[in-house]
Amino acid sequence: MKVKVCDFSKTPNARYRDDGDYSGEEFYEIFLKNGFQQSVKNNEKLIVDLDGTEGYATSFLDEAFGRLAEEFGPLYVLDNLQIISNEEPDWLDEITTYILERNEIK
Amino acid sequence: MKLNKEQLLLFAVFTAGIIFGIILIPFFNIEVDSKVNLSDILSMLLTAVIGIYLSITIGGRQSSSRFEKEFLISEVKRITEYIDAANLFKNTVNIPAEDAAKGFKELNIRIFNFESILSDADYCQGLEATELRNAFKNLRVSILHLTSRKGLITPTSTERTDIVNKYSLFRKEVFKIITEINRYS
Repeated sequence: MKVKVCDFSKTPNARYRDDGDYSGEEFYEIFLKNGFQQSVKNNEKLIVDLDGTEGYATSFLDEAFGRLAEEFGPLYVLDNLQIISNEEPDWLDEITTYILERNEIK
Repeated sequence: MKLNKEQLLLFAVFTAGIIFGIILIPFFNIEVDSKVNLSDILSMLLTAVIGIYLSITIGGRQSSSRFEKEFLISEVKRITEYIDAANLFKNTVNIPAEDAAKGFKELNIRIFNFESILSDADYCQGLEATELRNAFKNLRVSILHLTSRKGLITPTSTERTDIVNKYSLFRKEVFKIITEINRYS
């Protein structure tokens, strides 16, 4: 399964819903969480494509992927997630850091 | 006919040589031997061949190296030109979040292009832009990790100081990499 952030918004916003539309929190709750659960169910990796937007706030990515790590566990997320970022390849390392910095909340 | 700088210099050196020769003639009694030794001719020819070879190879290398350095520096300047033109960090009181994200993406792409060209460089081998990238990442986080309200990032005075410091460090790294490029011969 593939999720394209630009299908969510061309201009992703900041961290929380309170910060405005298209936040990392909103992306997580609407797109990322469901997509991840669906992919795991189908025994496949979730592919998240970051290309095609106007750019990212680090807070957006931290919230979306960090929440995913909190919900499913950092290592499990890393095993079942593939990120595409041809326009800004350094996001791959950054997101891995955001995921590993979070602890799973049971 | 208008003479260019190099032609004028050649003419000046030539004229100075003639004047210098005329002045020195009364002081020397030069005798020229009409017999020429074969080993002297061979030695002269060899010296000339080596001289021509060295001037061609070293001269060619220097001009290629100069071209590469100028190209790399122009790529670094594209990064700073963008920052100056976009006026991204002049106002650190209210930063439009969308513009900041867009600006950092463009900046990131320009730094990637520079890194890619640098990794293929022939004469500036071993030169890396790691510090420049780290300074960029620190600057990016100092702004894009902050909370935005109604599309505006409004840093506190401490955060503003941090942004200004990170921006200065980034500019310093840009300057450093230009200096390092210039050191390569």
